Amino acid sequence: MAQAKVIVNETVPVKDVNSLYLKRIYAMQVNKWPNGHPIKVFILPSRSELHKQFSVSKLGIQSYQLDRLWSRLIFTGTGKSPEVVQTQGEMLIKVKDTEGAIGYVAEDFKVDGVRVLSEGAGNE
Amino acid sequence: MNKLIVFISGLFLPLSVLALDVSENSEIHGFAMQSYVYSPDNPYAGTASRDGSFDFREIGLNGFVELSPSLRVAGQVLSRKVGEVDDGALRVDFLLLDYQFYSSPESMFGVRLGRVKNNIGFYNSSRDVPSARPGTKVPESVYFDSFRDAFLSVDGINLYGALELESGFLSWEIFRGNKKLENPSVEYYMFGGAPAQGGMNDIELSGLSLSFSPNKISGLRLAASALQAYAKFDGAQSTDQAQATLEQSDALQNAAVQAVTPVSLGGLGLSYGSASFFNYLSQASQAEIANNPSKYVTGLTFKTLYTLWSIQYGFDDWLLTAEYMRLFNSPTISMVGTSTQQTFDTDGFYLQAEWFAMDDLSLYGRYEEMYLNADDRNSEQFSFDYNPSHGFSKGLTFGAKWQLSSNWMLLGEMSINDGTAWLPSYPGIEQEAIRKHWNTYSVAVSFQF
Repeated sequence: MAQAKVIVNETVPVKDVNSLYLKRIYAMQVNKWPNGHPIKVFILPSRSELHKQFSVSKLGIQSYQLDRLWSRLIFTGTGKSPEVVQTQGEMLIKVKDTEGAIGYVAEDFKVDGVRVLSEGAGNE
Repeated sequence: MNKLIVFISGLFLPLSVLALDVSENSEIHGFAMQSYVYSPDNPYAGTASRDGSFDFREIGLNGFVELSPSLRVAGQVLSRKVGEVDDGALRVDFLLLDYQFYSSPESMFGVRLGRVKNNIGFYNSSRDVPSARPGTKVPESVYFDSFRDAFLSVDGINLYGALELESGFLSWEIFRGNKKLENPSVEYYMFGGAPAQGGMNDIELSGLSLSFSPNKISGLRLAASALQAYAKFDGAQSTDQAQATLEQSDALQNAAVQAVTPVSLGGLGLSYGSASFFNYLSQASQAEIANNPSKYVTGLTFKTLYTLWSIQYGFDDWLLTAEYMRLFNSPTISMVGTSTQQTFDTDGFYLQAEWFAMDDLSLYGRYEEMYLNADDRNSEQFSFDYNPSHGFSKGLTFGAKWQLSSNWMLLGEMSINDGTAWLPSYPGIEQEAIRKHWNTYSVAVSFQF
């Protein structure tokens, strides 16, 4: 199974990301980038292998826990869930075209027009 | 049942096309769950469940609009048909304006105004949402039905925030407001029945909840919540009326011709406070009040502090959850005109394991206990004529969830119970002979978009 790599829209003011920050973003606990612009979160279907792999290895959380968390946010009116895209191709287009977007594709999936985030310790 | 599924999908399919993205800044979501409940031993939420009943449905529809990146409006309407406990009327579950004052990668702070769900423990705010709770129902030992309505939400203000600490992630909420009470479930909890006259119409709530996820142990979540509730009884019967009821009661009529044998005065009517305050009454009168307190209530000031301690740990395919609840009750109760301030604690806990055995199948098991009077776990103090084992509950629940697609889910669950503390009350339950040992079996189908 290919590893996932994290991609962001060119406008995103972040070059590397640690797994903790990534987890906050995907748990919808942080919803603005350091420059104050809204974060737009994209995922593949939560039952897809790449999504599950991404959840566990990049976020350190099981995908079923994310599902329940997102349901809770939506149905208590306290937040929203990520936007689901069906394919990696669609993921690339969405992240490329949406300001503040973050998503992921497989390590070997060719991308251009987006920035691949390296995993680092910092947020900035 | 098939017709119902077709009906529900018919209702939602057109919506699911526009779901998730009505426009750039708004979304619509919904859920529906239809259950079949078979409860052969005791009437679970009504007598129909004794022979098996489809009278259990939850339907919710919600939406939000983002007016700006920091300002949003969100609302949900909910219909619950729960046997004779809830009639399925459409209610505004929440309707709120959410303004986020401040947000950075390290911290966040905001306010919600309007009708806001109370975030107590892991499941209170999402207790009616099939995909956000562990099974067909939330653990009844700590989210028991008597307080569902009272503790669900407030019309008021909710301040919330989060803080990224060196050691982990801390989020908090503080809220205050009022909640209208539409049924006498709290009165049933206190007295085992609906009072002869009057009831509580409105409850004042204030609360605090904290949740912490340590960085060192990924998958661990801790939470502590407290909720203070205060309500006054309106329109109670007069002392004279209660006195007249007492004099006409069968117990007293019979006592006149029978030798009065010593009876246990452990029932609710006399158990709290000094038993001597009824000394002017005959022993038969005292027993009658103790066994049927709802008939003799002449006033109540309800005051309680609900606390909940929660821990959850997820690893690999497992999710382990435990919560402990303690209610510190300090009501002032008036029986046949005599008032006393009482104190008693109710407590409960559950231990739950969920195993995500396959991509689309999860299994779960839960053990739980609850005691209406925590200082007297072995007695049958909260025992009423029709329901002698009301003072406690112990239960074992097993269930399975089968995720048919991202929208559809099938659930099956069985519970084996001893004691009836969390058996839902409904008007008329006092006409039934409630048994100590009881099982329930349910299957359900749910749809969400």
